[in-house]
Amino acid sequence: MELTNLIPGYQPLPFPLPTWLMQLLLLLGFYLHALPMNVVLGGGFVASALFFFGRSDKTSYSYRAAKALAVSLPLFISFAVTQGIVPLLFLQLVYGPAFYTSSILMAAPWLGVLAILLASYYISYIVIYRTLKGEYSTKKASVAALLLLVMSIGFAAIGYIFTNNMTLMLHPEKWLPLYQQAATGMHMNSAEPQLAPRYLHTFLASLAVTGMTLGCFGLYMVKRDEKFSDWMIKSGSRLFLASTLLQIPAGLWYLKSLPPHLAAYFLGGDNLITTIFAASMLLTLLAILFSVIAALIGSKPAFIAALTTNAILILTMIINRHQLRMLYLNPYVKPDSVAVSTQWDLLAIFLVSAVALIAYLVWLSKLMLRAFKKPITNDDSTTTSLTSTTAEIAPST
Amino acid sequence: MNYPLWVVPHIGGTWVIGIISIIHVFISHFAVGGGIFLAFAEELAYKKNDDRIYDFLKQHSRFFVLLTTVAGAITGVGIWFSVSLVSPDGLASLIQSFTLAWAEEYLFFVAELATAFAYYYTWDRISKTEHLFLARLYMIFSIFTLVIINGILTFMLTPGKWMVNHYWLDGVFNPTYFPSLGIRILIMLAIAGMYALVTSSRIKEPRFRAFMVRYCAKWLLPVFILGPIFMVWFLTQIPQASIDTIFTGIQTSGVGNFSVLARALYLSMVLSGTILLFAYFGPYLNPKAFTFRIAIMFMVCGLAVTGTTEWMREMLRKPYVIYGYLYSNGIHKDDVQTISSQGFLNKGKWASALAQHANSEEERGELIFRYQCLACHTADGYRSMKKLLGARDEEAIENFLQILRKTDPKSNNYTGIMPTLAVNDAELKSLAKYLSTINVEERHHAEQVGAKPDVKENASTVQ
Repeated sequence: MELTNLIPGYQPLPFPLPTWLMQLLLLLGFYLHALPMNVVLGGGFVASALFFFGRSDKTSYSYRAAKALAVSLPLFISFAVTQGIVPLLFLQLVYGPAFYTSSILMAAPWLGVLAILLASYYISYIVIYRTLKGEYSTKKASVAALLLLVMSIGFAAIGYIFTNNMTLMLHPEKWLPLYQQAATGMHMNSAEPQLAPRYLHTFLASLAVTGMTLGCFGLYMVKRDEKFSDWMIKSGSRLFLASTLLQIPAGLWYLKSLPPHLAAYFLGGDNLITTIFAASMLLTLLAILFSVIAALIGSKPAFIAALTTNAILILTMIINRHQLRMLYLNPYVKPDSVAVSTQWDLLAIFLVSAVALIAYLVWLSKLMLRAFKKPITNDDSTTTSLTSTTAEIAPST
Repeated sequence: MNYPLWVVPHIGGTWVIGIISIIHVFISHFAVGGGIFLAFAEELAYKKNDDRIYDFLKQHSRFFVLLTTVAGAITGVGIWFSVSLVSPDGLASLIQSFTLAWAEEYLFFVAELATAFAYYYTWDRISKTEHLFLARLYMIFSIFTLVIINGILTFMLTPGKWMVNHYWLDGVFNPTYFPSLGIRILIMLAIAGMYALVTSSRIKEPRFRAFMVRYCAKWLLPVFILGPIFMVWFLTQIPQASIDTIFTGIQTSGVGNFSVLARALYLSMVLSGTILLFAYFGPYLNPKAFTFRIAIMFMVCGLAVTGTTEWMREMLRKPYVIYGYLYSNGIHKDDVQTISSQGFLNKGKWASALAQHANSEEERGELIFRYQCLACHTADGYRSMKKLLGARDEEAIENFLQILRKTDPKSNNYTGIMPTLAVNDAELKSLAKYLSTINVEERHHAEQVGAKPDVKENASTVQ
């Protein structure tokens, strides 16, 4: 059977935006989702390990860094979930025919994402509101390490399910046989050659981004506790460096797992794709260089340079990821074939609101920064743990 | 028919959406109503300069943040996930029409969440005036998320002028938009009161507990005074067929029988009345005797009313996902005629691909059952076909299906609640053949006890 006969059609309605703009918003949305999502995935494992190593001394840098990371996790989870809305929306709009189909084939694990997310999200709060509440003890730190590990396994499972769906949607040839096997949505895409390297690639990236996050905490702490700040920047840079070096063989494995005719596009077969791929290689080298300096001497400018390079690097990799999707789906899914009737009025409202939102968030962040610079005005037991934690990561030893 | 169809044994796909939605509605209504509550209660604390109210609000806001930002947000995504699995054509139609509206809602949602965290983490860290300002901002942002999503939800029941011009603004501000917005806000206030009753019941100091319990109980009252007005307004705006579905059900279901929808309506009204009476005679008139257990009872009743009412709202829209445009089984209303003449199994991408591999008439019939019936029925669970078919034989089933195929309400009583069966003659026979394999046991049993299936009578009672 011709595979094109299996690709569901778009609805007989026009698209509300030009295709290029939808693609752009999909990319931008995914970028904003990927940043906090990486901190959540890597941060949980790192916090768990740090709690474990620092469990016997609450003044140890490990323990304090673990606590800082653990307390910020719920916020990162919230950002990751919220920022996931935009890419999900545009993925459904542009690539719905492929994405809905693969989701239906793996409906049960796909819905399982929600249950796992709910459980892991609440564990992140249990750690800060129950486990770490009150006086410190080694046992509490160990329990926190264990709970964070359970939570992180949950997030890692979510990532695995996502990787399954994101790769299954690229392979229309697998759909019909899977559905004929069972229509109850119990499938995964586990036989996929690119599954393991792709997942590993993302997982290592999450550790690297967590390293950068620790360094950012170090920058925030610089005036309060210089030694701790220095330790955070160095350790964060080391984590980044180690995972990025591991990324080199992982990346090569990923490239090798792709069908040769598609891998060729990244290696000179297409100018734009190759340029972005080359840029990402160059940025990786730069990031490694800067992070070596930051890891060795704790240099703040070098760390900031690594941070910035990494932010651009993630963007280039996201663009390459998107291009790979297009390469796979171009023969089957054709968003350009749908008529466009741009909703200019609503688009204008959206853009104005987006600018207003950014301005509002800037104002709100300033308010928060000011609030946390001042000592607390009322020592009340109900005050939130973010306040207590900033106090706890702050004291000099 | 465009997509592979997810088969959910026993409960059916609708209940997967239903369970997630009911939980989400109860929490998300709290997110909006609770935001209004926090702003007003903080204003009260500010005016009275009463630290006890502030302390109460700190406790309550933790509960609020933990519930709405986690369970509320995730069940919201959950509805989206589940609808995409059960009704991809429906969701795709909505997304192709309202992507930017959703994107706009997302902006408000980000503002809402950021403000909720800022509000919660800045207790005692910024001035009381600034904190009150944050509470009010949260209230405004959360109301705006409702203002947008209400447009898409009501659009599905009453698409109004959108049917003619496909213009998003006409879709959003459709005939039931304003009455529905009013009802929802009133319900949100009541739900906020119920949640706050739970936290108030935990206050240790008796006099202050009585004060707060009474204050929270007042939040349950507006919906009972203004609710009926908005409800009548709402009912005047929905299609006549939906009203008929509530009050008469299937017209021939027998004199004296309430339709299942009417029963749901009465249950919702009785439960609401119970809450009102309990709220008035309990926490409002006698706040001192109010306990945590009673508060939980209110919550259970509240959840039951929410579940029943939302279920009813969904039922009102039957047999459509988008009223008058797209049937709940993913078939466009306008395509029914073409499909009936050309055949269903040649039309949809996946339906026709699967039909090529169907080796027998039963298998082809099963495919039609899957694509045209499973959206609302299951073989042996929720709205079980086994039960509904009774002891009918193949011929009786075929006669019944002939009725379902008619588009004229005079000859097909089911047009108000079931999509027109879109099949050609051969496919109708295949479907009948398959359906007759589902109820073999029932037929066998009927033969044993000597009952004779009456085709005419049976045909009229299948619902």
